[in-house]
Amino acid sequence: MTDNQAIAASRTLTADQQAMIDVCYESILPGVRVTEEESFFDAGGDSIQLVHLVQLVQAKLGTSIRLSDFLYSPTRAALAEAIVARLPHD
Amino acid sequence: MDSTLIHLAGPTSPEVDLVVYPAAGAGPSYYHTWREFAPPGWRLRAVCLPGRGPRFGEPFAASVHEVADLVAEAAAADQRAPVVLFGHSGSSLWALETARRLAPALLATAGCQAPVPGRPIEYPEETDEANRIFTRQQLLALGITEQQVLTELVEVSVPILVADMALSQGWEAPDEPLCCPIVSYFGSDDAVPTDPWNAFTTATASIVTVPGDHNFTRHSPDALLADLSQRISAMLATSGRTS
Repeated sequence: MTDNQAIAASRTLTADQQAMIDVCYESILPGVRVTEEESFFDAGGDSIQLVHLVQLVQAKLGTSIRLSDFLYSPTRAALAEAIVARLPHD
Repeated sequence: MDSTLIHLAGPTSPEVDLVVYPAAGAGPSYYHTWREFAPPGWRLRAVCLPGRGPRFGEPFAASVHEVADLVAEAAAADQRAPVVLFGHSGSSLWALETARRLAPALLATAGCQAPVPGRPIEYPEETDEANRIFTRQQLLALGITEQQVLTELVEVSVPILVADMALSQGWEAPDEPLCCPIVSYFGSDDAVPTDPWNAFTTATASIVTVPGDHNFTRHSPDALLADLSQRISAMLATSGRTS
């Protein structure tokens, strides 16, 4: 693990950011409760919805996450990790 | 669990098992809009071939026969009602090949010129640039407008399109006709020649023109689904009387 990754991994999302991710998920998959480790596809989402979710998270959280951060491991946990990893460094 | 067929909508005890093939280059999301249009008695399942949707990263299928084997096996393993196979554009050919293994109650094709029995499919060679432009247009039409996401998605999607086109290249349409009826839908603003598919069935082959361009299946499925619904209802009524 590089220093940067270690710094990134040590950060956690704020309650506001978590709530905002909830809003994004609810907007794309209304009424679906998605657990941290559950695949977006297993939760009933498809690939176009997945892309829309990434676009929405980028817009709502002002993050520069990439599609590939989420595409190959489409869980909330991976999404949070990507957001943390791509936060601008202090 | 078999991942070849993705459940999109419908009850556990359906009147009909509708299996839909996404267009070449696409995944199950191609039929996203159908969830809300499908009649309540239909179980709607979309084919998810390796390498797309939840199967990103898996190696692509190598031939139309492999695709047909995969789908026929998955559909037969959990068949709960008469099967209707539906293909759009190039995947109509895959649905035809699948129908030879599965004996569906109805084969539906959309936006696809009838092939010639025994003659290999020859698609013109497309440049990488042409594939990128095509893919970009398809994605823009789906509302994916954020430039960086769009660029990444084009990178991910073009190999899927290329693999799907390569699948059909050289495949020979079967010489032996099916027993089930075939209905072929065409978009009124599409350039695809509207020849009948009657060489592939001993039953009826119908042509239905619905409003829309080549992507009517995704963007304006109302007329198509209304017609398909009528056909399926008539089919179920007939089978109900004879059984």
